[in-house]
Amino acid sequence: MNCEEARRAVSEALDGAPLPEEAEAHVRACASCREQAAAIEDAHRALLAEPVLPWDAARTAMVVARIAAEGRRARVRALAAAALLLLSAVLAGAVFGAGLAWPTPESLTGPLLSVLPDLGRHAPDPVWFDTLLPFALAALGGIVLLETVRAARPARGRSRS
Amino acid sequence: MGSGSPDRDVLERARRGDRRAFAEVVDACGGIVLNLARRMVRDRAEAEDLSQEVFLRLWRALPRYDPSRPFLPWLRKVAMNQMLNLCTRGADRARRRVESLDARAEATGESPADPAAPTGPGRAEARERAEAVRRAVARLDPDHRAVLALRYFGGGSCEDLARELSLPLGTVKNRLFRARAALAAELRGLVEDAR
Repeated sequence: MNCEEARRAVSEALDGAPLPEEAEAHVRACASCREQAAAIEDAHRALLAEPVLPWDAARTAMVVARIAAEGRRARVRALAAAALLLLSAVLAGAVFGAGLAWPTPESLTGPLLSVLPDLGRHAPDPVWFDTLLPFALAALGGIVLLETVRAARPARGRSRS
Repeated sequence: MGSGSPDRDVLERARRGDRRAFAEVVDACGGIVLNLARRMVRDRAEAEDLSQEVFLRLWRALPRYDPSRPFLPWLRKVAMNQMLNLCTRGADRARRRVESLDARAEATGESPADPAAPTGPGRAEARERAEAVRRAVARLDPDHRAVLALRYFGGGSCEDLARELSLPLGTVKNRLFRARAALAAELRGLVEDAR
């Protein structure tokens, strides 16, 4: 048995495994392993003797207060994000609803059509375009709103454990 | 107080987001987390900060706990993973802190106060020894500290440690061996420095 194997056996013996006779004989005969074994046994005893700290209710109160503060911050962030989203929607509705700038296929593709006439053949149907665009915008807004609410919840169950 | 398993009903309420129930969980398990933290960092104040951080993360992780499994091994595993994350992230800061504490202790001949340390005239040597071991442990890398913390605080067998750390049994035995060898080397270094 070499030094490494003997030292490993000494370490495993500290965890309850039986110390093989050859390991014991090696440690008795090898001054360096004897010194190492004494050092790790000494450290083992000191670690076992490490005092156990008590936990008190004041620390629990501090943890709970921090969780509550984190929840409040998340709610404020969610409200701010929702308010911003609502404001954007109102502004967009005001602009588009007043017919000031509701986009049409021509307004969107016009500049390109003048340069690339072939593109006109693939331009979307105006009726479908008028119907789908508000739905697409509403769906996009909904996704953003859901994501905002999800992100602003007190982040429970999302961290890596 | 602080090192037992909470009731199943309390755990279930805490999992669903009940803060009062979580406070009961913290009360019941605070000792486990604090003492693991104490074995991961050098001084008691840092251990208290670390255990608070761990409880904040446990609050977020709790919905993922499977109630059909025992709670304490899960808690020890999640707590240790979080401590490893936090210790690795703050490794440089922690090392600088250990060095500054060492420098202060050397300059004043004092060690950071720990109310749980043995007291009385006959215990001075034991206190010094415990402090030297703590200082040596703080110099180990976080993986070695983690395996020693779990082994020496409420730890079961190497098989239990393997489950808690999600590592093969051979790796745990090897890590314990390496950690003890590193600790012995650190202690030798501290003794030589003191001469």
